[in-house]
Amino acid sequence: MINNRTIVAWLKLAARSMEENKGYLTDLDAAIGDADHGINMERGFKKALTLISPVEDRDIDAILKTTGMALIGSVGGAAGPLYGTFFLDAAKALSHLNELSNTDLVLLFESGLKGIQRVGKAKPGDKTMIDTLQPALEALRSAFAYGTDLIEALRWMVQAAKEGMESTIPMVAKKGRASYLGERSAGHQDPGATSTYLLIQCLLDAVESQS
Amino acid sequence: MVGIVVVSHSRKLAEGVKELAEGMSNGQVPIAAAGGMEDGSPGTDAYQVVEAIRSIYRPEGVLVLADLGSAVLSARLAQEMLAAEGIDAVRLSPAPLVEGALAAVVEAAQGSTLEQVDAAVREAKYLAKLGEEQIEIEEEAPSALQMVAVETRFVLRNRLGLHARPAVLFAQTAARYQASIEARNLTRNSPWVNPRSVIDLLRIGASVGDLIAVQASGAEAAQALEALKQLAESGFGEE
Ligand SMILES: Nc1ncnc2c1ncn2[C@@H]1O[C@H](COP(=O)(O)OP(=O)(O)OP(=O)(O)O)[C@@H](O)[C@H]1O
Ligand SMILES: [Mg+2]
Repeated sequence: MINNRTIVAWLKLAARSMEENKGYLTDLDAAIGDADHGINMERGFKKALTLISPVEDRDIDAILKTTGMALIGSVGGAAGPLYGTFFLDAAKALSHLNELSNTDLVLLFESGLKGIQRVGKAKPGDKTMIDTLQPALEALRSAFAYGTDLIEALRWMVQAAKEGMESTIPMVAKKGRASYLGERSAGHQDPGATSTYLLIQCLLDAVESQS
Repeated sequence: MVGIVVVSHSRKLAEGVKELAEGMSNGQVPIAAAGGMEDGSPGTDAYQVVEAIRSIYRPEGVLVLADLGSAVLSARLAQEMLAAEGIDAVRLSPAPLVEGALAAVVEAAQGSTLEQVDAAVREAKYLAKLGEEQIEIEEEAPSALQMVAVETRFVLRNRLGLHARPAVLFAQTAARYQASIEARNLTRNSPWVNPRSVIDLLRIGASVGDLIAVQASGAEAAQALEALKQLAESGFGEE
């Protein structure tokens, strides 16, 4: 079962992962963007950790909302309003919960994805974080429909996220800075799709470490 | 009066565009800038955009111009957040930042509605920026007024051409009379435009020495032409 401590653990792992992968994400962004995605993500999650510490014991929506606000105010690039909206909208969908059922977890990702699409207007295939998030959400849904337990479902999710992330390599970018490169954006993995994969991997790690 | 918010990745750019735009309206039009992160590094922050809009918000509305990418996303998010509080007369413009901001203030300064300012600014990308650039001329349709209209012509005396300040004066004067009025730049063979629209006037790309024709029909046609001609011959009060 995911509770507020799992969510805090997830965000802490995410902050560490963004720090460790700062160079990697920035290199990916150097190829098709402006070489700042790793810097942006590290700065954003570091800020999120500072801001959530006073609300760690509150309901899950308070933690998610604080995270969203921190990202919006500190990331700086497109990832700021997009991941920020992901967390704010997830918080709105899960008000006053201390624990998340499987359905709630699906709702978290579903609302978050919808928020990213509302603000960013990207579709699957546009070479963005959506290409990781959407198949990952589908995998989570079908894993639960199939009757797998939480950890197994998250493994499916991570696997689908990885495939989604890799599927961005041949794509031609239609949104974001990379879209200015047109055809030349093909052949490179999308940085945002990669950070989304890392975030999902961190959720699995957080749940595993708590069981 | 409609307000303008300029959003950029760079604080300097946002402030600079604000400064340029303010210069065109004598500070009449409320303008706010949002750009850069707290520590001064480049980036955008939706909360800064929220504050900028809030700082000049008025019931007539606010038009937001953004440079690229996350500036647009942050502006859209700010618009959503404010709408949730009932602050909903906020529009995002797809226009280029500099041309858009200048067009926005001249239009707003005339007391236009948010819808009108938005529409005028969308046209800003067609402004003839280089002197020799020719505005695309559709089928040279005969003027609707041609048959019954009176016409006057004048040579533009202003050294800097018919730029925004004289264009605003021209539009304001044209609007004062009960008449249908059209203007065109004969030297550049421009189409007939509505001289009550500043943007239309700017589109005829009039430089110093160009011959401008103005036609009018209606109750005060003659007075309108007389006033416009005098205005032009006075150099729009610039010399
Ligand atoms: N409209 C969008 N919808 C979804 N994802 C997007 C969109 N625009 C960009 N992205 C994602 O954001 C990632 C880039 O994030 P980053 O933080 O580097 O922003 P950026 O492009 O540098 O921002 P900026 O527009 O300020 O230059 C891309 O790899 C892509 O996955
Ligand atoms: Mg970038």
